[in-house]
Amino acid sequence: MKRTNKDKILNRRINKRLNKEHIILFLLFCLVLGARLFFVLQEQGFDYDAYNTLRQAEHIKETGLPLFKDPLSYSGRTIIFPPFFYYLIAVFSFILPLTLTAKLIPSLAFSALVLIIYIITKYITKNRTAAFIAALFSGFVPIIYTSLSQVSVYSLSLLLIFLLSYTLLRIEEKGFATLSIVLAVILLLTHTSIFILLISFLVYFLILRLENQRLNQREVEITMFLLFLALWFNLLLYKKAFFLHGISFIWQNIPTLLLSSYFKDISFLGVIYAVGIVPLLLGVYAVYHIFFKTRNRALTLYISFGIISFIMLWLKLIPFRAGLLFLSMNIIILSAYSMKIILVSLGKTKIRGLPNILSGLIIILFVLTTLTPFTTTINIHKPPIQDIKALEWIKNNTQEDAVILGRVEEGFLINYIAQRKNVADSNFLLIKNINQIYNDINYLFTLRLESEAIRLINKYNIDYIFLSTKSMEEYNISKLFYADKDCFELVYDKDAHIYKFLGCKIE
Amino acid sequence: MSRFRKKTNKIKMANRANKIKKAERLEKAKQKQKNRIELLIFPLLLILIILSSIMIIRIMHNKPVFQIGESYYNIRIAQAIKQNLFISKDPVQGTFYEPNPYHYLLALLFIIFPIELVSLFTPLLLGVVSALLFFQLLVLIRVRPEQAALSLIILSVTPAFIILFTGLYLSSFVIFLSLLVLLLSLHNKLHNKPVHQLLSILLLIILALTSLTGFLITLIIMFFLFLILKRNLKALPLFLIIPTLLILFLSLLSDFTPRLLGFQSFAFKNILSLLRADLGFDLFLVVLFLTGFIIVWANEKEKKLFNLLVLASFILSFFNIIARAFASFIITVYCVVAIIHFYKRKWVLKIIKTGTLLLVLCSLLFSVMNQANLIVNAQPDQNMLITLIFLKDLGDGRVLTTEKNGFLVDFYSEKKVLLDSNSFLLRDYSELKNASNTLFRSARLKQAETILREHNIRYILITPEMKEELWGNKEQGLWFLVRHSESFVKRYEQEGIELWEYNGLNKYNA
Repeated sequence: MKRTNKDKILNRRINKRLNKEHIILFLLFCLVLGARLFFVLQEQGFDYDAYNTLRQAEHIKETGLPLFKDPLSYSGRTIIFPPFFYYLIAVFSFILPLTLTAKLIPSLAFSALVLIIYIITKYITKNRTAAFIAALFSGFVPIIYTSLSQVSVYSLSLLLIFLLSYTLLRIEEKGFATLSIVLAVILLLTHTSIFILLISFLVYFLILRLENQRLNQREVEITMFLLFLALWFNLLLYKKAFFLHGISFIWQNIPTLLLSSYFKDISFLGVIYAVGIVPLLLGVYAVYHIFFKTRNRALTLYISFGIISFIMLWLKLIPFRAGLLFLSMNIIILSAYSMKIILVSLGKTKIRGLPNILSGLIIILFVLTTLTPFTTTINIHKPPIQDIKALEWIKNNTQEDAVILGRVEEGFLINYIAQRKNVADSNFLLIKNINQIYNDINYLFTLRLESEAIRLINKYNIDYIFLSTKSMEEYNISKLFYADKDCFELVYDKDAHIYKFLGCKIE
Repeated sequence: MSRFRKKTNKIKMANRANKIKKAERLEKAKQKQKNRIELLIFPLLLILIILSSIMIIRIMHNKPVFQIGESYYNIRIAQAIKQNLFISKDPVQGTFYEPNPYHYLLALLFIIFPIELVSLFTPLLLGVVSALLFFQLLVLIRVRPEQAALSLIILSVTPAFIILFTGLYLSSFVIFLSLLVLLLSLHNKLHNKPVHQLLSILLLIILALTSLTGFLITLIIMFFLFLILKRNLKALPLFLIIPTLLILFLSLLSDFTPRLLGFQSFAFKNILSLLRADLGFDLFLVVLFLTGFIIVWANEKEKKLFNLLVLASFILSFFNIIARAFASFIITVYCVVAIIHFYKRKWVLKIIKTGTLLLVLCSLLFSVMNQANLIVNAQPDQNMLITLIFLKDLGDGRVLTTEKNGFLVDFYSEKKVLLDSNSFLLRDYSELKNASNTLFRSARLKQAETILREHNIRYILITPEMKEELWGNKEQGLWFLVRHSESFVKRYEQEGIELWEYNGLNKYNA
């Protein structure tokens, strides 16, 4: 008898813990994860930049430390970065193969974002349906699927930043202050994006003051603390980079010619394309409602966050894709509020089930309007197999200290697959005269004058030139014009070409 | 009789009471003074320790006490004045020299004391006295002495203060003069006395001759402080008119040209010490200042005029280096307000309070360590000195190096350079600058030779910093040319410092 009572209590507890809401949410999480993994696991290989993450994770796995002094990148240089993300991948790679871990972790983080968006929107709207729809939006918004082949640090930083914003909203409640600090520390060790949230908090305080609302002391205190902490930590970490690059440190010392591809102009159409028209319209309506009809502190924070993301995108202070990720998540959170208003209004009508019908309609409309951008964004940007094979040839047939010239984009690939030194790669921080290096590399693929090419090759101590199929496509060439038999030897002649420099000098 | 006695007794008692009151007042004043001295001991000691330890560490590293820059020019000119009281030309560069009271003061000190002693103690003394004057001025404008003393502590870790008072800079003398004038003209016991007014005017004249920008900034500050402290504004026109007339008179009668110097376009690398600004703000101190400013703005509405002045001077400091030196002093008061606010406010989260205060402390430490590190590691080192002394013994000829190295080469080698930090005053500055830039980029002998001959350049001094900044440590441009052309002979090389002689000049002249 006693036992059955105990069982009943236990069952009730389980039921309380695992109700319908949780099951649906879990299913949504699985759906998003499944969708991501479906695309990710279909393809072998990664985006060009992802090979740096793989190398860092491998190094951590072997030595326990990240590669702060890299002998291969730029033929030997110092790198500075917050290492948490690499550690996370390295730790999981003890259980699973590294390549699988590198695909799984970002997918898991992006899928977990669905849960975070759900708890945030549910906390703000107190409406499960609106929160669920917002979570669904966040799981299938097109911008999320632009990073499928990347091992993107933004997957984790986005998750952490929205979780941190949630804990800061509930700072009055027990335990949330400590949780906020822990999350902030993890975020600091992951990425510099905490500054976007902190600036958003300052704008949020300003809006509250303008509306003659009282500031929450705990929020002010923790923001102040985090601001000092973030400033101090980043100044210590990036001191050398600040000294070297000055304010252009913000643009990561990216060469001028490449800058436009990292920091693009934002357009209204671009935002629609990235977020989808339904969340955007609902989000804009929420902003109108908050500013002119009601007051909602939490939503004011996300409006500030959205404004800051937009301004940073507009002023090109944040990489385009990252900025759109932040902006879209904020718009989605705001859209939940509009949905709640609509659902509550419809709930008051005499037609029963109308809110459910409308919820279904919104979802269908979202799917229909995002289908085109969704399919076009899933273009996996990864190196062709022919290029990989050529690099494997380099690994097996060249001396270990050889310097290989490839496009800047292929730098990490040369380091990871060929395990050889590159002339340059996509990590430009702490590199002097980057514009000169970038121009020289481009020049070396398009030059016709042999003497100038030899001068540049000697300048960078290049031993081999890797003319990949992608380089042929990009520079519209099929061979190096200046590569004659006296100074160059074509040692690999398949789809991609590899030239060996025979050590000529100009007198 | 008894009435008379009573009266005298009363008078005696009143006198005694007065005496007691007087004694009490005196005692209080003494106590106040004692308290102030006690308050001042730690900040002044801290200032002394920070400034002197930076200089001592440089000496211990076998480096001259001053880092590369203006100090060497000031010493050189003062030494020249010591030899010949009235100089009209820079003895090494041959350019026009406008008399500056600071150089005359240094020359006087060089006559009385040995140069090493003056070099070591003048910056320290000026630093400590300026800090003391700043403290007095703060107390005068009704800042609580405890707060003023804390401001001195913040001041001691300010990058601009550390730079200014570890070398012989004109701006440090301007700050000292300005503070002295402000104190003399604003002091409630002194400002009405004719002698002090005269002294103030005299000091203002010296200030105007030293730096016109400093003089104008001082006058603006003085005007606002007169308004705030409700002083007699009648004296103010005198302070303005007499020095201005004298400057005009001098410019009409002599070759003296009044110039507002120190202006530069807005750039973060000029403002933030973190970006290696010559005289910049520490980023944390800027954040603390802004926090303090918001607190003061919100709480002390009656001081809005004063706060506006502070904000204006802070904004002006983005565009002028002398204004930045002034602003570095002013912002410390607001930093203290912010720190006190953090300390005294009732924090809901205790752990955050401790964390924030700890971070503030760490940031102040970071500020001083960062600046000290920069100064200690700055050129010239022993290798540079040896090279320059070697250059001194070589035949006459102009030297090509960076603008920054100019004063140093002038001082040690006594040879003319193509460009130094004063060259921007020359009419053909842009032409010289273009020539210098073209030369550094030039890897072709024909192109380089034309410029070398045109500007009579015989020696080329290449330092490791130049290799890094100009050529990214890769043999290119002029560095490539001098190493691979027979027209250049290496005269000296040590630890990356290279001295080359262009031998085409003799052939060309012949």
